Amino acid sequence: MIAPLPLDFANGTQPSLAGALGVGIAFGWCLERAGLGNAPKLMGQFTLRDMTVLKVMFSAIVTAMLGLFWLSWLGVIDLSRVAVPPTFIGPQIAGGVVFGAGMALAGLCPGTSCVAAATGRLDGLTVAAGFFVGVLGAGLVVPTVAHFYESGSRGALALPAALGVAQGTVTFAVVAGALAAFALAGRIERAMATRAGRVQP
Amino acid sequence: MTDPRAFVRGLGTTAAVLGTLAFVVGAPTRPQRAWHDTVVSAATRDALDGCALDQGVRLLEKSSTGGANFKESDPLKEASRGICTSPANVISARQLAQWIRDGRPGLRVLDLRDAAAFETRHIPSAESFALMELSSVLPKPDETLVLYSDDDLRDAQGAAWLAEAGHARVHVVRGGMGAWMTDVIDPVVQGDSAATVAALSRYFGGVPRAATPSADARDARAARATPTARVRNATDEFGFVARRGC
Amino acid sequence: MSAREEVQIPRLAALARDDSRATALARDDSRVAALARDGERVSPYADPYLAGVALGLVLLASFVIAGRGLGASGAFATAAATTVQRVAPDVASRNEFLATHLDAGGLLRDWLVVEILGVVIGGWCSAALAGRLAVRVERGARTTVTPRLWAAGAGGAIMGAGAVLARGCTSGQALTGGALLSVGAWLFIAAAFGAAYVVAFVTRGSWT
Repeated sequence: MIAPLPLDFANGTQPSLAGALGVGIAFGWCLERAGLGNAPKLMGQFTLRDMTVLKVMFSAIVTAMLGLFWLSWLGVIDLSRVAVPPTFIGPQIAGGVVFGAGMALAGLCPGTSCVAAATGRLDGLTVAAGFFVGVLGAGLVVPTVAHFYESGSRGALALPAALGVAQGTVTFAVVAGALAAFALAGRIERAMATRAGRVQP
Repeated sequence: MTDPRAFVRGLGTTAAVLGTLAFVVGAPTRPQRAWHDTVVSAATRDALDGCALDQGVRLLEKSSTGGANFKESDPLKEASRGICTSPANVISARQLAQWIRDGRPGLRVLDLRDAAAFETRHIPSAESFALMELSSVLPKPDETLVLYSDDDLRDAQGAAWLAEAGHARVHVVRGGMGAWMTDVIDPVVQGDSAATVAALSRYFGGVPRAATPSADARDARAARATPTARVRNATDEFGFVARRGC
Repeated sequence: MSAREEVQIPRLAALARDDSRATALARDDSRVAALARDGERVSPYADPYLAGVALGLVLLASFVIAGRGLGASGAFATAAATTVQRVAPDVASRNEFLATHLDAGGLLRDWLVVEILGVVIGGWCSAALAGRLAVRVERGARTTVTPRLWAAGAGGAIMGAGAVLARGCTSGQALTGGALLSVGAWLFIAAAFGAAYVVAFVTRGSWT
C-alpha cells in the first residue's frame, strides 16, 4: 500500500497544502472547461435542455469509483485510510432538498460559483457571497436544532454495507445506471432540441 | 487527431468492462499472500484468535515493512493468549480514571500510540512509548502498569511482553483512547452512577451529558464520539491526520 | 450579425458530427453567440464526458495524494467560523458547528480553503486560455440584472443553510461521497436533484 501517502502529507503541512492547491487548480480547470461556471448552461440540466451537469458529474463519479476499486485491488491504495463523509440520514435528505432548491434559484453551486467569480461573472460572485452568509447564519442557528442535526447518524456507511451486497456489485450497478442515464440524456437533449426547432427531426 | 466521439465511446466501453469485472471480482482486495505465512505461523494465528486476528496481521505487516525486527516468538503466542482471555488484566477507561484521580501508588500509564497522536491528546499522566521501546521498562515491585493504544492490540502485545519480562501488575485499557473519550471525557450519564461518573468526567475537564430517553440519544452520542464530529486534526493509528469537513 | 459571428457558429456546427450536432447546438449556440457578439475569440466548451472523466481523475488523485476528496462548502464554513471568531470569540467557541470548523493553524492552513483558492486559479486559467473571461452577469434572455442578482444572493444563502445541514455540497457530498458510495451522499444527490428540478420547473421562464 503506498496510498494515501502518509505522514508527510499530514494536515496543515506544506506538502499537504501543495497537494490541495494542485488538486484545486485541476478541479477549477475541469469545471470551467465543461462550462459549469456558466449559470444558464448549468440550469439547462434542470430545464432538460442541456444535460452537461449529469454527464460531467456521473462520469466523474464513475471514473473515481472505478479508480478506487481497482487501485485498491492492485494494492496501491488502502481504502480504510480514505476519509469517508459520515452519514446522517435525516439532515442530509433535508439539507439536500434545501440545497437543491437554493441551487435552482441561484443557478450555481458553491464550487462552480467560485469558478464563475474567477472568470469575472458577477452573478457567481453574488452566489458565493450569499453562500457565505447562508453558512454563517445557519452555523449560528444550527445548535438550536442539534437534536435533528445529529439524528440518523450511521458513521461512514457505504452502500455495499447498507444493502448487504459486495462492493463490486454496487460498482457494477452504478456504472450500468450511469451508462443508461447517458443514453437517456442524449435522447432527451435531441428531443428538446427538435421541439425547440433548432434542428430538423 | 482522433475523433472525440469515438474516444468517448471507448471510455464508455472501458467503464462497462471495468464495472463488469468489478461485479465478478466482488471485493476490492486480494487475499493476503506469502509474507503473511512467513511472519505469522498457524499456531500464532490460533493464539491471536481471541484478539482480533485481522488487526494483528495488519500490525505485523506494518512492523515488517517499517523495518523493525519483529520476532514471531513464543511470548507472543503464550502470553497474548493469557492477555486476551484473562479479564483481570483488562480494565475499563473509567477504572483507570479513578486510579489516576485517587493517586494510586506506583501507577504508570503508558501510551503506545505514535508521537503525533500523543501530542494531539493523551490521557493525563501518560508516558509515550513505542511498542519496541517497552523492553527498556524495568520491572519494579510496587508498580502498576497500564497500557493503552487505539487498536486494542498494541496494548495487548505490549502487556504480553511486559508480563513475560517479569512485571507483576500489567493492565490494558479496554477500548483504548476511544473508550477514554467516550466513557470519561464525553460520557452519557444516567441512573444511579450518574453523579459519580459526571464528577469523574469533570475532574478531567470533560463534559458529561444526560441521557435523553429516545433512540436519537444513541445517535447523538455516536455522532459526538466519532472523531469527525469532535476533534479537529486528530490522528489515527497510522499517524494519518484525519480530515474533517467537506 | 457581424462577419465574425458568421464564422463562429458554422465552425461550431462543423465540430459536431451526426447525431451530436443537435446537442452541440443546443449546448453552445446561445452562450457562444452571446460572447461572439462582443467580438471576442472564444472556444467552445469541452466535451462533457471528457471533462467529467478528467474531473474523476482529479478526484482520484485527491484520494491518492491526500486520502480525502474534494470539497467547497467546508472552506466557506471555515471562513465563516474564522470570521465569527475574530468578531466574537465566545460565540465561536460555544457554538459546536463553528468550533469544529476552526483550524488551529489559521485560515490558510486549512486544506479546503487552499483547495478553493486553487479552484479560483484553475477556473481563471482555463477561461483566460479559452477567451471566456468577461465581466458580466450571466442570465436568461428574458431576465434583467437586478432580479438575477437578487436570486443569486438568495439562492446562495439558501444553499448555505442546506450545506450546513447536509455537511457538504455537490463537490463534497455528491462527487466525493458519491464516488465513495456513501449512503448519505447518494441520498443527498437524490434530494438535491429532485428539489432542483421542482424549483427549476417553477422558475423555468427565467433561464431561457
